[in-house]
Amino acid sequence: MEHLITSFVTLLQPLPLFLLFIGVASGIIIGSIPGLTATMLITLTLPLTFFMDSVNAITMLIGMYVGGISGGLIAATLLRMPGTPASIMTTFDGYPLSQKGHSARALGLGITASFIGGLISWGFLAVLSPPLAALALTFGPFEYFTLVLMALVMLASLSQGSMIKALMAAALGMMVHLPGVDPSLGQMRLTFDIENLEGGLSLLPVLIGAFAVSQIFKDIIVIDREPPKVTVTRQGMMLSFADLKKYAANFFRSSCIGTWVGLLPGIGANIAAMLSYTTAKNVSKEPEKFGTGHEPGIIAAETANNASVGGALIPLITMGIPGSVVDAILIGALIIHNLEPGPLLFTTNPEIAYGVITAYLIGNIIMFGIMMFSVVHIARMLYIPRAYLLATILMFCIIGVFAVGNRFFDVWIMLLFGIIGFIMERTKMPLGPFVIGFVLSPIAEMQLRSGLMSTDGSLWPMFTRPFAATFFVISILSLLWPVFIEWRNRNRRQTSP
Amino acid sequence: MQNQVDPKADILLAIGMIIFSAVIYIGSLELPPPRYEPMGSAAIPKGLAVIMTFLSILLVIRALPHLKSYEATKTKITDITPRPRLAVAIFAITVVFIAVLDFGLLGFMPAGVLFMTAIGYLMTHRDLKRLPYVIAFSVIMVVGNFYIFTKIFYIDLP
Repeated sequence: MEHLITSFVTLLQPLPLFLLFIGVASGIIIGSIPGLTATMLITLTLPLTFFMDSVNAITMLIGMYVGGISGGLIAATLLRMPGTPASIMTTFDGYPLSQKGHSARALGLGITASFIGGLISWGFLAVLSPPLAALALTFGPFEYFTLVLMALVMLASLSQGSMIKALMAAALGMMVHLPGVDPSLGQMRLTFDIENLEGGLSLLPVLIGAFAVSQIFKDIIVIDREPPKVTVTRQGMMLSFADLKKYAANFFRSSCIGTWVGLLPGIGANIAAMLSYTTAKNVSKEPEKFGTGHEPGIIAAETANNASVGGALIPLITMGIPGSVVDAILIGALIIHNLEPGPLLFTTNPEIAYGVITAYLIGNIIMFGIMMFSVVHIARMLYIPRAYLLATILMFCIIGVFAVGNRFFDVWIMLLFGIIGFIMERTKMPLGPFVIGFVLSPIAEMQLRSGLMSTDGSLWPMFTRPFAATFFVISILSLLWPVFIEWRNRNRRQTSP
Repeated sequence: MQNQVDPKADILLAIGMIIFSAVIYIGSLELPPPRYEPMGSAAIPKGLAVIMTFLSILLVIRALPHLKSYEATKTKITDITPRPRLAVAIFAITVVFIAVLDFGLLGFMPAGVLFMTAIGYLMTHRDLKRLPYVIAFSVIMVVGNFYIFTKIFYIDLP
């Protein structure tokens, strides 16, 4: 509690508060523009945070995360174009309600739901994180290895599309991290006599290439797509107390679903929104109204996608395991700032661990303020000419990557991963497992090897230690579950007339 | 578990991954055997290469039956005309820009202005009326970035 209060006092100082405000505002703007995501913004901002104090840097990135997820609802509601993948479900009811002439009401519902989802999941984040971190301190190498294994397998099995491709993406991410110094022995590995590869492939060129550059070229292909003009007013945006009371159960249920889905390794806000929306529809007395501009649909989707952010931050600060792709990038940010993500963060750098918790709450409050009072102006950002926007982002990618190591090798690597990211998108090979595999592979390898050293090469503790065995069994079940579902569906199709 | 991608693309992807795995596997054969610990440096690369090859073969096996039936479903109607050639042109200009900076043929400011102007001009449908705005925007962006990065962040741009 003492650390939390200290953290509030620190973050309420002018500079951190200003950076948090900038983070949230830029996140909302970028999140609102279809094609540009919070992931892209955070990746591009990482090089700039080198020059900042760690607390300020992480605070600003958390602000971008909150803003980016929330901003997506603007285009989803007004244009039926989800600003971010997290707002896909918002289009189902937000857009029809907006088309009925209630755009302010639709936006107001989405903004309030995002805020309440954030607040409730902050409660879980603040209460669960310290004891979970204490528990994680008891983990040995086998627990950590199986935890990483579970994260990767769950991510692959829950990815939309082919599980084989998701597993391939995770393996590719892990393989890309192999060149350079062997983390256990310190000898060179797979450098193929290329001097620049001796330090391995840096996180930023790979991330910026895979997420930002590939997205830029994807957007250039459809540069002629222009959003239709819409007008928005602020009248009727603020929800009444009666509205809050009426939808209280939906807010709470969707927040719990969002937080829970966020907690699961590697699953993003879009799955949280989908699950919450489906649940709201299933428990509703008027399920037929969903998809026609029904208010509970907007609430379910937007509450859950924002709540998933808080949920995803729990494994990040307690165990160093990313709950989503953005969290994998945040782990990268911590590493770049010489911080060790995981349970030790609470003891070695409590200002960072509690800073994340506090920044998430303050970020949500700022998000609510900005969205409520400026959504009309933010909506105009949807019409920024793409030519200028994409050219600027491409330039930032090049300068940003060069700035990190002052070498052009990284810029070439960024371009190469831009192509790889583009091909992966085109072939529906998900980028999430790739990035998480890339970030987690050194942890997995080091933990496995140090575990085997302590047991003289025996894997037996993986099955005898309770947590390690549990994580291992969950990994196997996660791998087999989609195969079973597919087998069952195929059987049903064959037996049905 | 649905697969809506051109099966040919899946097969090409799998071949690419098998080649990459082979490179990693062959590269790890040169690594010394383990001496101080049970696994050694080569075990993880070899293991990952084998897993990737296995998954790639599975992908090919799943794609093969759809090779003939895919043609009938691949037509997709969109409201705009995609511009892949524009993306290729901008990619080529980006490669030239980075090469010019890497080999020290031009400094960041002149090369940056030319780069931004060229891609801005192409993305605004080569509209000469908009060219002055594109040039002005490019100059402001490049000069602004140059001063921010060199004077505030102390990064030596070429």
